[in-house]
Amino acid sequence: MPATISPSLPLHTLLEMESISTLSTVRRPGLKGFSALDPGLPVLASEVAIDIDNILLGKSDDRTAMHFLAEKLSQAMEPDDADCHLPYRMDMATFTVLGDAISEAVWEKGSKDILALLEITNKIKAVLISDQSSNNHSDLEKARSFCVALSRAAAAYSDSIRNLHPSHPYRR
Amino acid sequence: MPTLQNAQAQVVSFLDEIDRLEQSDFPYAHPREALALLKEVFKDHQRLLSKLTVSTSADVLHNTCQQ
Repeated sequence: MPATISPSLPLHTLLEMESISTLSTVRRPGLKGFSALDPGLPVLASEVAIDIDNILLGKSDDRTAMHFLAEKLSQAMEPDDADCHLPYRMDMATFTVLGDAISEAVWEKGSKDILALLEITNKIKAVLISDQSSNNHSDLEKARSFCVALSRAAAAYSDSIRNLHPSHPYRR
Repeated sequence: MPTLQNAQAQVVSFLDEIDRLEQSDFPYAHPREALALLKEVFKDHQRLLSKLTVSTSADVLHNTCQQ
């Protein structure tokens, strides 16, 4: 489902609505799409980083979270026919978070326009979705760095939006 | 490893507190449901922390414990 922003609601209200509906639902099959507003994103990215680390250390080969994140990235990169035939389904905030994560992880230097970002995201998705035999060490290390950076960037973004909302005067 | 132990201890404390609060009387169902949701969140954090070991890379360890 594309991340749609209703102009009639403030962003922090939207974030709270998202929080209520997706709190700890990282594995809920019905939760679709890749959005910076998804409160489960920092935890999911963090889990993928742990799983990749464990694969690199030869401790386990659990790729469930990796495939889940890859699926979310896939959904975000499906063409959005309903909205001006855009080649993706991401809002600008999500692009910013994704771009920050890619820059921090130094996946690839070069152009940072949207199409370049989509291309790099596709490469990351390919690493996340691949099976044991086709991964090389360097790609997994890059994917791990990306996931750590994505987790940090998504958490920082959520915090910044949450801080826009003044706390209740009776709150201790 | 102190970072990991501290994070694990904090999560255990939160879960203990939730267990304690669950014993209270709630006049309405919603606060109890909210507690159940919070418990799920902290259980999820506990599950993630249990995947970390002494050989986990520093970046991954610190990022997970920070959450």
